[in-house]
Amino acid sequence: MNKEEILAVHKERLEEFLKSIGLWEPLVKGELKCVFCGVPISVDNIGLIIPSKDKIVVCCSKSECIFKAKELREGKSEG
Amino acid sequence: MKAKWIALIILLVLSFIGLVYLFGLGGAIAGIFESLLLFVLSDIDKTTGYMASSYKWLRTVNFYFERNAVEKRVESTINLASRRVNEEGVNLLPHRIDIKWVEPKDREAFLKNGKIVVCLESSLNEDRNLARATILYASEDFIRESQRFIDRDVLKSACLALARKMLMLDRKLSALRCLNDEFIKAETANNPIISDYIITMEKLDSEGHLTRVFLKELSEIDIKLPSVLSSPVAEAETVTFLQVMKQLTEKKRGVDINTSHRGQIIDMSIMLVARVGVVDPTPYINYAEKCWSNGLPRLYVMAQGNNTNIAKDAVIGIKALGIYGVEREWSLRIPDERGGFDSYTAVLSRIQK
Repeated sequence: MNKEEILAVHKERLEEFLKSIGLWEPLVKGELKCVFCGVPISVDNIGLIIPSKDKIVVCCSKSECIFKAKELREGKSEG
Repeated sequence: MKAKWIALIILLVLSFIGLVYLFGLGGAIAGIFESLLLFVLSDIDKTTGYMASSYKWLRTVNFYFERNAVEKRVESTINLASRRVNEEGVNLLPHRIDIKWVEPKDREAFLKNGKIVVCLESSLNEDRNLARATILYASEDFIRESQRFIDRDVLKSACLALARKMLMLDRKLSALRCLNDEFIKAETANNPIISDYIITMEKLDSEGHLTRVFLKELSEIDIKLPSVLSSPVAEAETVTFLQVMKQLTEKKRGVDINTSHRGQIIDMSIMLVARVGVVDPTPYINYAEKCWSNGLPRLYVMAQGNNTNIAKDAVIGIKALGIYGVEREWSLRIPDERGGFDSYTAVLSRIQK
């Protein structure tokens, strides 16, 4: 049986990871918004970190946005 | 399954006695290790679950244990559940989940990798992690090749219904509650049709037809349209097909319903063997002949309770005519509040003459 690899970051290592990709500062300043529903992103509601073409976007943890993330990656929706 | 466990236990007891008899204390120790090894190998996913519990217990000692507690819990729950879903007969979730922790990297490397990263919480928030990871896994792995042909709401509902089913199969009730409260309620509040679709799918599942009929048909769309990128016709047909299946869940005794979906892509009919007091399978065999004459490629035969025997006789008769061959058949005991009922489903494929 093949494997479906899912990349994950633990909340306790989130700061370190977001700093490395340049998103920690916008997050603490409250500038980061869900790419789909526009809700401000914080450590509590961050759901996914999505590489999309030449930018990195984030989405909140609502299932609606999680589904849209997949479509964005596949190029079916616009973030 | 039971026979497998009985055989394993007998094997273990006998080998333990043999080792103690031959080697005394050393044999007993070897026997214990052998038992542990066989226990691990007999079900790697369950063992992973026990590992998750022990890591969680040690979570305060080191972050290594905390991270592994999260990782192993998600992997064990999802892999066990996906295996059980696949055991229903259709390989809907072909891949095992493998959680990989991302390390801090530079922006360019992350963009180049191109993979979505999910945020998982502490092992104390296991339910939320399970709900989130199950949705993500289901949306990624579930009939992956056919997803592009499925109506967006039908697909979303199928993923959510499947995620619910997976958590229920592993009796993760608090994760299920979290899935309902934090994900499904929000989704259905925005789009009520999703609620309707999920209810239909859950009713289908309670009768054993979700994976064996509805999702099986959806999973095969890709095989019918191998070189096509998208198909509005297929998308529309997934909605009308769900409507046919909904009628089936709402069927009242003695009331005839249309159980056929004669689309360009989803082309099938369900023959319900549900007449009270009928003991002769001939009318059903005649119906199958009519379907064959009309060019129907696939016929499902379904029956419950006492009618399962007539349905089986009808399938034997249809096979004997050489018009349809049996692709799969299932005889199940479906649990309900009155103790359960027998159910029979057969998938028949047209034989070209």
